Amino acid sequence: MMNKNVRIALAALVAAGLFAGCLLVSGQITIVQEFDDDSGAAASQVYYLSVDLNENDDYADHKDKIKSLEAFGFVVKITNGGNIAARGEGYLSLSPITPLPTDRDDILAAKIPRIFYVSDPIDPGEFRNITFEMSQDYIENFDDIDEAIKDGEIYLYGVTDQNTLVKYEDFKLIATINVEI
Amino acid sequence: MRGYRALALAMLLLPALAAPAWAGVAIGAYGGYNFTIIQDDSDHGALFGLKAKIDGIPVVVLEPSITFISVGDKENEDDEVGAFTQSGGSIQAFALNANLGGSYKTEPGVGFYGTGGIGMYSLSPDAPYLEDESRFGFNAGAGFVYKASPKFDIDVSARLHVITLDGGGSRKSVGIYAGADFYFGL
Repeated sequence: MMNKNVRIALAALVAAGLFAGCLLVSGQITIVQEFDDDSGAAASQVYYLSVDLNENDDYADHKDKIKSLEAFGFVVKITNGGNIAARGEGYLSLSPITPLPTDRDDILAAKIPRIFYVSDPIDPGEFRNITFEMSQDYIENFDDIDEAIKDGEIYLYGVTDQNTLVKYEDFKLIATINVEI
Repeated sequence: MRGYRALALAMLLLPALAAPAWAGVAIGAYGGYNFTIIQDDSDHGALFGLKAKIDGIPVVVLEPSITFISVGDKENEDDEVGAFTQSGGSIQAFALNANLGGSYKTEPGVGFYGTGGIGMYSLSPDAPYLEDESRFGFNAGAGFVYKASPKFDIDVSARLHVITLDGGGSRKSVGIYAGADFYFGL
């Protein structure tokens, strides 16, 4: 009886191994990519950033095998160059907005998704370094970020909710992606 | 979510209340650890759960279960951004397995078995921007039962969980389970 049970268990183990082998075809990779500073570090009411993820080797190697974005975060230094406290906001587009937006109203008129909102105001003339962990509380519209990551070419417009002068420096995205392996 | 919990409780309680006279039933509890596989956004964590074993069908023992899995935070390191932590969450797995072999033992001794099952997995990530979701999944594995007395056994197993994802692909982990079962009617 024991031998029969052992045989059945071994057969089940083999079946489990085959089952696992068939389905273990996806896994996660995490990419970190810095955005290009298209504003040239001069404070403005709209700060322009962009990135082409195809320049990231890990991303390029897996682009055709991306299943879904599983987790997202970012790091950035935001400087409020205005004379009132203001909250940072980031808006996303898959193509450049033309003509170039010059203030927050232009961004809102473009009806592009806001992907983060730094809910704690930054004092005038001060800056804040947003860590990955802090960014988790600020992210919005994850489905739009998912679409943008799959597309690969991302345009980001940084503003403040008070339309003050602002700088977004050293913006890096951290994306964990489920890919076919 | 409430619907799944009610279903899981019904799956566990009904066998004891409504099993036909020819069926043997055991109810058990277990704990263990869940090891994630190829996941950058979550880490290993503890698990515990409840299950029933119904020995009333030829060849297989049916095993409904509910398992609570803790998904650990994942510490990551990158040259450009330094150390950062991705927050984990929790999973509730409602599964129905078919066990082949000696998972339900009427006599003292050791029984080896294989198991495979399907289930619904309720994923609750800690990240505020991610929503809870319920996904279909599979599990498969093997284990052994040591029955030292007529009413109790010790059950140890390892099971691979594969949770299907919305965009394709899957989340995978291996759970190591150890627990005890109480046999009714023996």
